[in-house]
Amino acid sequence: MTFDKSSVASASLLALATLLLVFSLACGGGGSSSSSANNNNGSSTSALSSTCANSTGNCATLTTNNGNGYVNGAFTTVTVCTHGSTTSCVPISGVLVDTGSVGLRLFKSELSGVTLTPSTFADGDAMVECYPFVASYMWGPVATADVKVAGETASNAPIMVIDDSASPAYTPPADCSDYQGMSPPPTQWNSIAAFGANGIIGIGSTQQDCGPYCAQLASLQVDTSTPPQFNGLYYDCSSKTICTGAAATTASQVPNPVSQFATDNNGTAISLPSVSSSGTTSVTGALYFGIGTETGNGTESSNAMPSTATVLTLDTTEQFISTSFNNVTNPYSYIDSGSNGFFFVDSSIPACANTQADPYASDWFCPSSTLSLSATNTGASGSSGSSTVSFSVANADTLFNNNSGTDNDFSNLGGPGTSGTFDWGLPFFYGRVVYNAIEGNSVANSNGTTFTGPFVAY
Amino acid sequence: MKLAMQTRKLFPLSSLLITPLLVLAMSASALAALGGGPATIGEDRAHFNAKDEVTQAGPYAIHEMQLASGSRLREYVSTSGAVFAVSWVSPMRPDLKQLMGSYFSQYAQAIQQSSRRHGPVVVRTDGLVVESAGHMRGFVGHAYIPSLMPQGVTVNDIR
Repeated sequence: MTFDKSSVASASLLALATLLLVFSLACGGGGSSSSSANNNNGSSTSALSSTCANSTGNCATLTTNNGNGYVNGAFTTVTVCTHGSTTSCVPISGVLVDTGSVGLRLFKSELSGVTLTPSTFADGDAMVECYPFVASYMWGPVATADVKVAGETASNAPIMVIDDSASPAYTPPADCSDYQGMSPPPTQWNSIAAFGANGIIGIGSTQQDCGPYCAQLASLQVDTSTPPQFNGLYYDCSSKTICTGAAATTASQVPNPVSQFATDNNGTAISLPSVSSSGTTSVTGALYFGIGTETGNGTESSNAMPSTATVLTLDTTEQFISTSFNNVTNPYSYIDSGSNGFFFVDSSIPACANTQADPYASDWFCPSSTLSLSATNTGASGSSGSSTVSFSVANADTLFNNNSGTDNDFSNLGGPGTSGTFDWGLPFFYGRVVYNAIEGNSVANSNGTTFTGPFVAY
Repeated sequence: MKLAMQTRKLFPLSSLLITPLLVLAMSASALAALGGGPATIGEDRAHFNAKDEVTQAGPYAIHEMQLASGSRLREYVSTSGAVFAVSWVSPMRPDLKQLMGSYFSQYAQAIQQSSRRHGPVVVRTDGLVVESAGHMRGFVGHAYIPSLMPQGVTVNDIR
């Protein structure tokens, strides 16, 4: 619910004064915020709490323990309903909250209690999607349903139904299963066990998961072989085994669920509490829908972005920020809740040694003592400024063995990354409020200064 | 200065003397998959149906292609004609099989492994380094052959 300016204007002077008084109290003025200690720099100006004041409005509870040993993941509950029904619904907990991707992707086995409407192309054929991540991919048909998170509803929204059945309805064609040309492909995320969570809700900075690229077939057939290799996401499946790459209108693509809410749809804020340097099992956080759209009345939680937040506008083509670390510029960097560590290049930090017990230990850094580091983030034109971030990297072997090996959350977990990229994963989010604004939205901070999405702010 | 140096994504090659070579090639420019040589000239350019823009940077040349899919590909060719590195920045998934040529199977085997890490992929073998990062709407990465890298060239030059 937002202030209706016309009703304020027509109110009596006394009512106006009362409203202004209530407004200033609700917005927490200069330091009386009721939030827990979430802030960038020691001040307590209107920091959004990591606890939702109400669960039926624009604030969804996050938990970092999905009961599956997933390290540094933030999860929420997503409810899927047969379109138009309030009773034919299934709540799905443990859905990974990912600011690095866009679109809701759930497993078919979780949705048997609701009726989804399969999406089709104009020719009547099924619309099936091959969605890539860096290390793997998901495959399954697109279908529409009502999607609810906390008190927000995306009505009749396309979602991806990952086919985890023993006999999938459609066979992925070679240019999907032959992932990025790999033969054999990596382990497909075609089951809850393979993915490690009950699904993923991508709430990143774009309106759809593919956007204009997938709307024009000419840009999707990038080579001159016969038939040309297709590098889009959507396939027209006329039968179980015949799927052909096709163009999909932006309206038919899997959207950012947040953009489909009736209100509070310009972006999100994630507030997670700090995590101690030795790690912990689980924390509770808050996912706010909308930035600057609610003042905190009734069931709605204030979602103001403070004027002290650094706003980093994202490159419009690939959504990167630039991070300078150790005097090296990394122009392809990003802040991503779906990554689970600080991933960057620093050859002076040793990686953990692979062992028989942990053959992937070298995924992580093992300094002999905890390192205190810093890096500077810069956005594209329109940013409010640059921002230097201090962070720590501890010995991962030690972290994973703390607390009898039962911890899931580590604020100082890092690993060797790739040259040119600084990946700020979930550890960056601990003890901060991180805002993500969706492209095309004009978003105001608490001073009324507006910024145009896509941007990330903290 | 040519396109490659004006693009803001290009990491400044401050350690090398840059001599721009303005070549808008529609025919005989040298583009080849990783590890390829003169024998594969033109294959990639034809395969991707793209223009090839070449920048000379000291002991190597950078061939850059912009595809209709929004992808920007670069191939780094030494003076001996060997493609010692390839890089990509793309909103869409890149065609790694084409770019990495005969080195692709090494990468495919190495990435089979799963772990509790969710982040960029780094594959390091004796003869090949592949670094792959990003996500849909913003993939980025590169692959190079350490033994073919010209003297003085580092991974920071491969962007």
